[in-house]
Amino acid sequence: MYIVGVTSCATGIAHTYMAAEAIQKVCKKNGHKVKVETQGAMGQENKLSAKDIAAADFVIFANDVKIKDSGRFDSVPEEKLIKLTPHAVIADPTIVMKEIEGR
Amino acid sequence: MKLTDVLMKDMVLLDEASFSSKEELFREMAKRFCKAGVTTSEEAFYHALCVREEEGPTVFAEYDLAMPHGICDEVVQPGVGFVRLKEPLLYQSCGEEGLVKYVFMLAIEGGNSEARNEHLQILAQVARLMMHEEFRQVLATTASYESMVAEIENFTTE
Repeated sequence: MYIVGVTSCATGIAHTYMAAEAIQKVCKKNGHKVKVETQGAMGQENKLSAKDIAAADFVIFANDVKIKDSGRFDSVPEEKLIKLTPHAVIADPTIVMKEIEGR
Repeated sequence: MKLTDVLMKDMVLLDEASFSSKEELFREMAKRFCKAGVTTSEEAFYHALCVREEEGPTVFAEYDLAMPHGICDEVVQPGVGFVRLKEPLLYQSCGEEGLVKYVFMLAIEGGNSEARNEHLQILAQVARLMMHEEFRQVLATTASYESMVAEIENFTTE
């Protein structure tokens, strides 16, 4: 599968990057291709393109502040969207796979 | 810039100290960051650490970890400190708490300069590394500053 994600947090520092790494790690471990955009103190990095979003089997949001440029995801069907918090992903990265398997 | 470029010997404490409170830990580390030339003002950096604590939690209870960081104009060069506590410390941070064994402390320049972004990149790097069990294992077992630097340099996440 191809899984994409966006992470962001209130202060934009540690949680954003920990959550991104957690998603990448758990997806790779389970044999999936993955790309995660971070929206942190350094702005948008590893930005998801329209092509990435269209190709994705699932889109993970791990955010507790509003995601920038969210219009990009308007055409993603609800069943492909997984909404989590950075805290939940960091505390237990396997939650990402559990959510996907539950769909 | 790499983590090992800014991780300074006088700011790494391995099983050397325990603290009765977060404030005591911050005081001691602010003193060390100042002495090492990372900040020109111990007081300003201490204050910046405390201000950040009010903005959102820096404790990660699942990993026995805290990552306090201070952002202020008095930070003049990037610096990272690491403490492996002799005794776990009950660390409360913006409504979350946990018993902490490992503390990564970072100093980040204020304003909006290129230097600040470099400091932030180091913080992002530490945050990402912490999600790897193998890296946490290095922190748990490393015997000295020198071996810590060597082990971090050898560590790859791929």
